[in-house]
Amino acid sequence: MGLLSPWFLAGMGLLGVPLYLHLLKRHKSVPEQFSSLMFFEKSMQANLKHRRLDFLLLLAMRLALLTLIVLAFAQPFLTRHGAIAGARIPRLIVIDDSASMGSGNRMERARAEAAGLVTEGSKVATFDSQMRLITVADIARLQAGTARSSLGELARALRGYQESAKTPLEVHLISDLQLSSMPAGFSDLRLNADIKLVLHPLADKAEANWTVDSVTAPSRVRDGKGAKVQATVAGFHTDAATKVVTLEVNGREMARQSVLVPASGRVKVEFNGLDIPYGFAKCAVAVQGGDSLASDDRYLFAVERTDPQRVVFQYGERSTRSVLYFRNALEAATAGAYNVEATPISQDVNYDRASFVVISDVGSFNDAALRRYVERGGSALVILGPLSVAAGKAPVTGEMIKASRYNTRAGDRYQTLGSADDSYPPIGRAGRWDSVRFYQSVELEPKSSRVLARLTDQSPILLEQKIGEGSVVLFASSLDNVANDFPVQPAFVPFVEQLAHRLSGWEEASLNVTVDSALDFKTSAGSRSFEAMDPDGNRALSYQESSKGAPLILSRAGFWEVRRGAGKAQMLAANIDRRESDLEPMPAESARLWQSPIAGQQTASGSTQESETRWPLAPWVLGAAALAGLMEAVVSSRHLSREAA
Amino acid sequence: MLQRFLDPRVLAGIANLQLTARTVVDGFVAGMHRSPYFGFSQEFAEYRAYVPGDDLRYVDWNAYARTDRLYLKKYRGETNTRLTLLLDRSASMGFQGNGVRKIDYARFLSASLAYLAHQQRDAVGLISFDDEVRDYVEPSSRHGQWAKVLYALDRAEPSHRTDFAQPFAHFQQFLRRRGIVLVVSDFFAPADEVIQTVAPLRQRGNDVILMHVLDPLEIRPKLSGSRILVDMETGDEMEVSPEYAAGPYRERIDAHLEALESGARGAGLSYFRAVTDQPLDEALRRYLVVRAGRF
Repeated sequence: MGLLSPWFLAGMGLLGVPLYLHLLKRHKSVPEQFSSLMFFEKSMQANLKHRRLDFLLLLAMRLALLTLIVLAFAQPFLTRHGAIAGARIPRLIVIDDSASMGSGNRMERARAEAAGLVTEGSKVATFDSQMRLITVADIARLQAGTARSSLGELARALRGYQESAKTPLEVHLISDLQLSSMPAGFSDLRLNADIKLVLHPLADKAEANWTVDSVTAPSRVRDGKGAKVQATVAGFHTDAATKVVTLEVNGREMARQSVLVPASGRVKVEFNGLDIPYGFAKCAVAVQGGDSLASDDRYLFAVERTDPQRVVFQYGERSTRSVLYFRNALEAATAGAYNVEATPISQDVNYDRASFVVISDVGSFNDAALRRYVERGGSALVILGPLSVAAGKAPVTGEMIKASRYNTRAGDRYQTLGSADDSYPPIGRAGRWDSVRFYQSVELEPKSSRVLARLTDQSPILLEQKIGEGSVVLFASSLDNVANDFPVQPAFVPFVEQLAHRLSGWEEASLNVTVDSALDFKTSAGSRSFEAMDPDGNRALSYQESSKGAPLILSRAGFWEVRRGAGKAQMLAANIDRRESDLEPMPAESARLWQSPIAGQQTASGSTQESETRWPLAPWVLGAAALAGLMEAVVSSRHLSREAA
Repeated sequence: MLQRFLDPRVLAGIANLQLTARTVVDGFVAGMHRSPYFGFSQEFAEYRAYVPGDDLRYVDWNAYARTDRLYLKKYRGETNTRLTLLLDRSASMGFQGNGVRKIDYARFLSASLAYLAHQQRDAVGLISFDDEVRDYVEPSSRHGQWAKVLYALDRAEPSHRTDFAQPFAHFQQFLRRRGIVLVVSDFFAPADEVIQTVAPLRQRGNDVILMHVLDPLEIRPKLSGSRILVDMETGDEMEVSPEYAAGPYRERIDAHLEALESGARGAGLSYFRAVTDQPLDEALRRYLVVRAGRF
């Protein structure tokens, strides 16, 4: 039997009240003198005894009533143990194979410890950020991975595992129990009542470790000579030391620097110039040796060296000024990363190898070639102007154009940006165009396009539509400094730059992410389906899988390659989460608290399997209290009636 | 106005037995139309012819001068009697309800009667008793007798148990001459035993008055709850419930009083119940009635 709220038992002190009233106060009176008792008979004693019985019965009823009420508040319950004789609790051995386990001989000790714990019927699992069941034979082949460990995720997985198994569980966790692996709240570590946790810590103190904490480098360069690579070298629980930091490109050391890393501090290292060949280069910044954990000594990053991207700009007869503003803005922002080929709409243009295409107020034209280009994964920017209104619909997208909106330059009769989707990179990163005045715009009636920005009269000004594997961005005004003053506003250059990056896929060309990141590219401008290759060159995700929405999970450190339509490719550098670099174990108190049963939550014990159920007694106790109250009323009324006589 | 002083609680405040008795009697007498004094007054009773041997001092010489015959003149005051007070001083007489103690009431009563009797030249004596005779003042009409009686009354404090049989056996040697015997007691004994013990006094020619002194709470006890009562004579304890005190006890005490009164009447005894919350005049009046009956 147990109590859910035992502190309510303090209410038992109320029992002193009836005891005082009945036994102490009431019988305090001294005997009284009377002249003669000759007219009182002994036989009346029986009556008095009966009265005393009533009196004691009344006291008992009141005590019982109070006791039962207090007990009901304490919420008693009965615990029924259904022991299954001879049955053993299933044992689950969980081995930490996160990156930090590669420090020293931790993994060897973990394997030995696990081998000693294996009994008949034992299950074995590994965990880093998620738990995976393995076979007993796999223990000998276990190596430290590159993922980050999460004890909160492990606790959640154990709870789910036990609930699905519906049986008590004895969990042996073999881990270095990093402090950085603990969740923000200790309550996230809670386990089910039927889980008995036994910890086998592999580290008892913080070990010194240096790591390259982060690297900042351009993801795409046209000429690597001007590129800068900045790296941060950090030390955890280290003394001040001079460390050698190297820059590697495709496995070759390109530069070397010595830096003084403060005790348990960090320092920045900068490499100027990045001499890399065309295409993707697998680069890394490494700190040389000196600690037991080698896997975090290198920080990977990929850089793509390309020629200037070809941008096809087709313009109508009235929008030659648009070419001027767009080209100048793009060259100013990207330093020649893009080569804008401007041609009148009347000339045929080959869209092959174009990074993206710009169509500026061309009116009615045959857009079949452009549409095919987009459907294969290309991107296009369509700028609408007066000629477009005459055509009646927007090129490629087919969105209907209702009318052209004119405002006057006199007074304040112009439109400004009303609402905008800041999550769209060309708007969010370039800043809003609040100061831009729109005097003329094209009123669209969007059907399948996503409106990214609206003017103050709620007419769409920027839209995006996915077509096939590619996408088209519609700008419902011209860029000639006539219909609006956008080209001469400060927001124009960054907008053009970000839009160009977005359309060309520059922003996704190379990404530096941590292991276990999940990428789905759903919001990207390019193709939604892709093929992913893992660091060993094996296919990690096929086109079919990605087209169904399956995300790419970078399960281990290394260079991942993503191939998409229209000849576009990406290289992703997955690095070990640097929280694994802090080798400080969790406090011993926390470890003890985690594996100790809290308030009866963990009751599995010994090797005998017990099924335990709680039977709440509060309703029964309340019923008994009601009965005691009724009896108390009866007895007290009888007692009072006699007193009154 | 004087009646106010007959209230027992007022008398208890006087705290002087002599003054108390005088207050009672004087107040009582002042309210009567006829003088209660006999014997020493000049009230003519009868003439009787002289026979040789009569005291010549009582010859009515005026009658002899007119008739030439010798007559003796007799007055009422010449027929004095003896009053013997038998005072029960047992422990139960110490009971005090809401008013005065029973023993105090009995002493007021005895002192008043003694004073009244002494004023009319009756011999007054006192015997106080519990389970035996504790004090004895021989009846006398001499000067200073009343003071002796008062002194004996003053010493009469309740102490022992009541036993009527033994002290009344001793009374026989003290009560050789006939007179009035006034027994002041709470009579906490079986009624027939009391009557049997006292009746012989009547048989010897005495006029016996049973003054039954009781506290109102002894007749109608009021208990707010169960109480442990201690017998003042035996020391026995008994827990008494209110319902018993309101029911069976009343029936039993009423039966006892009825038995005592009827038994006294049957034995030729005069019975008077003196409740301590009532004035003393009724008790005095009862004495005078009995006193008058002796002529």
